[in-house]
Amino acid sequence: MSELDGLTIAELAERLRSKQLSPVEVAAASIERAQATEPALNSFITITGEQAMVAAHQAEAEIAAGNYRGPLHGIPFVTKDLFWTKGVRTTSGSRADERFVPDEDATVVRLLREAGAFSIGKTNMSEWAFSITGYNTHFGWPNNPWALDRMPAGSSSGTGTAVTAGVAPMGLGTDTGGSIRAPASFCGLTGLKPTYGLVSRHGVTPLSWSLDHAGPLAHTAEDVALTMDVLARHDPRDPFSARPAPIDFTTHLRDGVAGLRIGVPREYVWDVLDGEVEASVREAIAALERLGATIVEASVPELEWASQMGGVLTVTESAAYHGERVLREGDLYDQRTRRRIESGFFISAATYHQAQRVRTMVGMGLARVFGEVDLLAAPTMPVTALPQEIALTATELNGGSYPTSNLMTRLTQIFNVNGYPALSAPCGFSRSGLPIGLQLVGRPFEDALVVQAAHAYQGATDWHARRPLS
Amino acid sequence: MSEQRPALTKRAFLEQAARLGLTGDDERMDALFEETKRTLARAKGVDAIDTTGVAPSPINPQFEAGA
Repeated sequence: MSELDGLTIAELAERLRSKQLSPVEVAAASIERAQATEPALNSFITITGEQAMVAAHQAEAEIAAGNYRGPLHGIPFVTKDLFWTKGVRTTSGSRADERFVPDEDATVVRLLREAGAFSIGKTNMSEWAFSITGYNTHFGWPNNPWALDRMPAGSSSGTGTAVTAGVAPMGLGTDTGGSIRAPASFCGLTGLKPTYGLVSRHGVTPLSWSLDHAGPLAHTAEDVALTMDVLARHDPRDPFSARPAPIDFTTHLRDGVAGLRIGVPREYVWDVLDGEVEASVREAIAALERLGATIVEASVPELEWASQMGGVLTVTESAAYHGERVLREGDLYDQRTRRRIESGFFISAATYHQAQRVRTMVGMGLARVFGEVDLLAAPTMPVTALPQEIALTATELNGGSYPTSNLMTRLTQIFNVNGYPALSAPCGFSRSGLPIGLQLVGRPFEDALVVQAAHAYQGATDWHARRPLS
Repeated sequence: MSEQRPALTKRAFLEQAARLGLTGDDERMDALFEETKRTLARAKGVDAIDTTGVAPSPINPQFEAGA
């Protein structure tokens, strides 16, 4: 390992700004780390080392000339392979798109490049982002750096494993039912699903238009804030892009949680849960209280409907997106993915609209509770990283048996359906050494407060600073 | 949406699948039938939720109505 592997954006940026370190050194270490870890982790579909070195040399020249652009200048990142990258194939995890080479960057990739960051490569993912486990028969399954026989979770699986392994301090993911927060939880990272519409999805292969969110995974809340300062922009090319007042993620990052009211849901989130996860999350909530937050019980019984409804929306909207293509080219899809998409053809328009009515009711419940609290705190995942071999079957937990995919989206999808910002931060480790995630949820467009609370928690704990061996 | 619909029979599934352009050998169609039953079971749970008096609300990017 290089001494640079696993450093945060904030740590690298200070050395780059002061010219103690060159972007070229950072890029070389990053590429070397990617190649060294790839046989064990399978994080990448395409490594773009040559392009990264060209960009790093350009960044080096700019910084040397006194044109420092900001904290992301000279910082490597990794890109889930459904973000379009100009001149670099973008497979969306499917053989059906293995020859697709976009002629433009996704807006978020462009914004990161304009900030001076450069991509090390396109990361592995679940096909079409349609699996929370990271399962992919086309490009192989990524392995969790904390335990190679465990799943890293998906669908932003390769981004999770690459950032965890220290290839780059930050990566891009998408989250339709938990696909940023699940790998963040299973891999010990900090991942933010921003408010729906805050981050552009132009040039991002859709899974489900009304549920898809793009956002960062990193080691720390501070790095998430530095990245979000670049990504949170209105984009007229995304029809769902919102026009909130500009959000500044870093000015109030260190304001702490004193005086904030944090709600702990009474219903649903504690019903199906591993004991070690519950203990760690409850201790994290106690830590937030010691930092000055007021912890209150919050009642949101509507959450129980959200996961089921989100599943209906996902299959229906993915069937609409893939439509004629899955009929024409379905043999190129993984057959499990194909069937899940095709099953959406059987959902009636009446049921789809019924799901939208349920969405209204869940939104009313969340709006009610957020009239009483500033944040919600809950577990991100009911379990720690699960063995790879049960990805397609069932998980036994507390005497019950649950389809693994349903169990893994149980606590995350509930915050996709109404677009609330939700972050996962590491809050402990199991006795077997696997990370546990705390989920913090905020009001729409109060993403910065969510990140601020996570930063306060990370100032009092060191879970986020732990790295897997070698 | 409290009205209960009859369970999808294999025959009805195959007829609807054909109309939708979904074809394949028996093994593939059996597997798609099982997947479809799982999806429809989830949909049935959504249909059973009492939404009387509630209008559908596709997500609003500006959250004017939702929050």
